[in-house]
Amino acid sequence: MSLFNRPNRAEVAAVYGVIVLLVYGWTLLWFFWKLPSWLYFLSLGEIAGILAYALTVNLLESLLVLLLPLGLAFFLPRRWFYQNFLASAAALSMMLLGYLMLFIDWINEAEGYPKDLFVGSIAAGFGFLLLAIVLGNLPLPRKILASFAERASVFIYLSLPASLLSLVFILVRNLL
Amino acid sequence: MPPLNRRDFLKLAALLPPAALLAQSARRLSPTNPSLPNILIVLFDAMSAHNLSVYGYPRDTTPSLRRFAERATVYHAHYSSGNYTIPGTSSLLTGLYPWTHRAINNGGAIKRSLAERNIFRLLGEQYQRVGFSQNIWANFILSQFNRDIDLILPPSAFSVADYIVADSFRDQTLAYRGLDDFLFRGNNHGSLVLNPLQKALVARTIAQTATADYPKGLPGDVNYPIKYRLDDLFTSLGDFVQKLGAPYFAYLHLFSPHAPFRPSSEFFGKFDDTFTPTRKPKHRLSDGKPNAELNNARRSYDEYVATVDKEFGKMMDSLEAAGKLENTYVIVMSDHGEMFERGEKNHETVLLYDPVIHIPMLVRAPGQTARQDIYTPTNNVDLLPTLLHFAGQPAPDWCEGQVLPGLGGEASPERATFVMEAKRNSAFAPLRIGTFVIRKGKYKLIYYTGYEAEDSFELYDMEADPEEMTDVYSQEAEIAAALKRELLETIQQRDLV
Repeated sequence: MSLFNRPNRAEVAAVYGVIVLLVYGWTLLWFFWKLPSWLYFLSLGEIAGILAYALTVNLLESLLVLLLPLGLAFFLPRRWFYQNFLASAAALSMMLLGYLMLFIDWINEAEGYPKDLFVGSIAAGFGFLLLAIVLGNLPLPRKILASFAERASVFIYLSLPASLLSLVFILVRNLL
Repeated sequence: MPPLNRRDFLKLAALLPPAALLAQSARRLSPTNPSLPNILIVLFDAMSAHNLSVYGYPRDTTPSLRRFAERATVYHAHYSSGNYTIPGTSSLLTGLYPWTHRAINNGGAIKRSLAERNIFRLLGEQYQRVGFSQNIWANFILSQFNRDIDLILPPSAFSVADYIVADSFRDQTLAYRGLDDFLFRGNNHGSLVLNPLQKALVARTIAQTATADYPKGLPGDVNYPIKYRLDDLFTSLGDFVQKLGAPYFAYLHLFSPHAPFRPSSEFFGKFDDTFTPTRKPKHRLSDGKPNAELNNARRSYDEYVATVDKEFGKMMDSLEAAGKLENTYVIVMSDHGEMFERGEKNHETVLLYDPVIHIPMLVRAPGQTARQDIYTPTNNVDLLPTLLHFAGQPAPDWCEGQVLPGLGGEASPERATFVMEAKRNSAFAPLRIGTFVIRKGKYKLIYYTGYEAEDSFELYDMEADPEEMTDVYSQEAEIAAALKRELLETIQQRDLV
């Protein structure tokens, strides 16, 4: 038995696939929403450049989000999170990222310092964690979540090369 | 002398590129002709001449500008070339109308093949050329000229809160567009994780910097996370200008008094008065906002203008006291106006009535001791040839402006100037949807095309009816026909995609 709760690579990849789907999917959704207006005044090269910056940021974001379930698996008791890592981490990532989709609108509309929103968000975070642990322990949700996450891992084959290419593009533009 | 070995040679060779860069920088920052006058442009974004007491507005919004005008040339019929930042700024920096430079869309850019036609390049390396824009959209335009500007200050310079990401990137044009504009801007949703995080940090900083000095919050950009205090901003700008080596050309594009209107406590509530603006009918193409809302916004705007005016006055006093304006042309202007009438608020409109396009233009020449008033229609495209005239250079033949009358140019009643709005039209396509204005003599013709089933025109006699209340298009048929012909022919000739 390992001293550390380190999920296996396939499970991490599957959870990362879920995160990629949501993080990159969200950006691409808004990218295509803005595209018709950009086509009015930007060249295709410039639009590709914007996409490159977005994909590079997406890589950073998706890795940051992945750190959360990995950290939880590491710190929480094995039976809580690590034991059903794939399902619990996938559920937690989906709930948190889904919440962020709403949070952006709420904070954009907030006037003054939205203290209640921040406090509520922390509470929601704990609620999501609890729910993720519960879902990971229930046979049917666990099976559905794991199955979904395994299928989502295919997106990594698209996101990683595109992001790495974008990163190279940005490095070239900024360092040379 | 011992012979160079291979290692020494490589060391020396490695030193060459940085040495060349240093030499280039030193040359660029060491202007060659100190007898040339300095040129200082202070541009206030979205400042309408209609709301300035220096132009006769009933509320005393600009006592400092009035004082400035006592020793300046004041242009009473000066127009922007567009009704918002992108076309307005592009025109004043290139001397080209929007139909030529094609920066006609929100967030748009000058046609790449024309980006070399800019005032920074034309003034040349004899000047230390500095650009600063708090408005990121205007900064898009400045960044197109980055090879011709010795120093571009980031938009967040002199800010209290600064969460602009692209400032530290070398590839600024794309970085601003990709990061600050697409992923993190205002209500945009491009980034799912870092955008909310940034918004949370901005909210926290705003809360931490809240002050009773600004009861409605700190002034700042409406779309991007830049917040500043006007007193600090103008003090810092004054200090910065004092440090510039002569001759310099400094273009300072300040975001205020653009919305959101954030007057200081000294001016907050100052115009809770009985002044009632002329009531004008709602236009069929307007948003149809109620008059009460428009009047409230106008009052806030006026208070904000008064705040800006006071800080500007303090900066000018300190520069003058330091003797830094002796060989300096100081130009106070705007990129477009602001509107609180006919159902429209601010400047996101297809209507081109005077409040949204009639802007201040005040020029103080070195040693000027008396006020000069110019009533001939002029336009922001005239800035470029006028600055070149100050520097002893002729205007290039492609320029669509003329040297301003009173500053070396001549006032001609036959001269037509133009304004256009076409943000719904692709920059890469012929102009099919937009609003166009021709201003000539005392008349102003407005042409609306593409919005409705039929094109329409309005004609105003700006001397007899400066509030544009009576459309004389039918009564003055001959004049209307002549202006219409000239406008349509000009569009046809210039609209070369």
